[in-house]
Amino acid sequence: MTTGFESYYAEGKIQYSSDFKAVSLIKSGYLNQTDFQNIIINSDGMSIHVAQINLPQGNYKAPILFIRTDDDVDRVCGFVGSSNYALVYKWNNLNIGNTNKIKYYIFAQAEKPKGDYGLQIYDGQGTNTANVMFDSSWLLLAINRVGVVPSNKPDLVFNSASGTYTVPNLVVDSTHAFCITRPKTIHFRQGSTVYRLMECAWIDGEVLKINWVPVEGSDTGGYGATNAVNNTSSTVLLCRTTHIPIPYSI
Amino acid sequence: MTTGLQIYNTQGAIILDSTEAMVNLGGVFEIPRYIFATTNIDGSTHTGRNRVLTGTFTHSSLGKGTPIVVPSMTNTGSIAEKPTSAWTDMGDRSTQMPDFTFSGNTVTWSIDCRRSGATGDFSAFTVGGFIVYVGFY
Repeated sequence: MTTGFESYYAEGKIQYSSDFKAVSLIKSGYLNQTDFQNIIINSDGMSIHVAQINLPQGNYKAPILFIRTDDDVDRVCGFVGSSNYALVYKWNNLNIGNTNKIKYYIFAQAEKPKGDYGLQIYDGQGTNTANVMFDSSWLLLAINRVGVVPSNKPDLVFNSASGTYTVPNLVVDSTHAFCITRPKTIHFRQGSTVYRLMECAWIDGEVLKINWVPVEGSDTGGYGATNAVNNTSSTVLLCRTTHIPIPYSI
Repeated sequence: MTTGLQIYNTQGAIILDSTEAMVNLGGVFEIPRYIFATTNIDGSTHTGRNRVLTGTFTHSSLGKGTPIVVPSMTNTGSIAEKPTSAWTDMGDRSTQMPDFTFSGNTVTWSIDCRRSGATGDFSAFTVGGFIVYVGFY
């Protein structure tokens, strides 16, 4: 960049550049058992258990979903849709109760009101709200640690005991929430029917564990053997939530 | 701190530490929703299943740090928008995620339909349907 602001962190990497609107919180909250809808797939007893988070009204783009959950029973996957919602999936036969065990945080490049203290950076085109690129009073997304799930993991088994993969070299603490930026999907055959499962995660003490959750299936059989659909690794971001309120909405 | 930006709120809690990264997103592109219509979906004749869809997108932000993509799915619809048949027929509004690889300022996406699977009672096969934000951290 020729003008503007940049900060750097380890090894000379750019931490923030004022070429880009800072990513900050637009919504946070809890998911409970009663938030999930049960969609019966077939007579084998397979159901999809899905909850919808409606994103708030506002001027924002590039929403990113982070989750905090601490039990394999609560393991979830999810993604943001482009029509102002996010979908979160869990196992239909695992009851998470209604004690706010699943926390979610959605961040985005949002146009927000200016704060009255701290650091503000503008785009050089004016001082209106739309011109603010960074404001320290926004609830900023701070990436604390990063992990990688290799292309061939987890194994193609959706049992949390035998098929679970632990993300290596990633120490998780009580302040973190996780995001798999592009969760993998697999095609899974069980008997005569097939399912699609998506990479899910949960925090177990100081580690992040990865497995699968069904997101769609077949009621009439299907084609293709069990295999990994994606052949690239997944990136896991851990954000710090100590400064993030819950629940919250812009 | 030795380098970087460190910010506190009025209560003294840290908002951003010099050791932490921020997600800087600068570009956006679309992976279209592909619909392969056929009257007879099965493993041997369904043309969509034999394809690998691919494309590239270039943006200067990808080369400024560790590249990142944030896909937002347009294919599925919300729960209310998605008909029951789309949950039970895997070829309808597929949730298959793309693969992404990076080289310099360019990201290459691919969707391997050969690994997608399909079911017998939906007469078309759909994949893709993403808005993808790109940048670095």
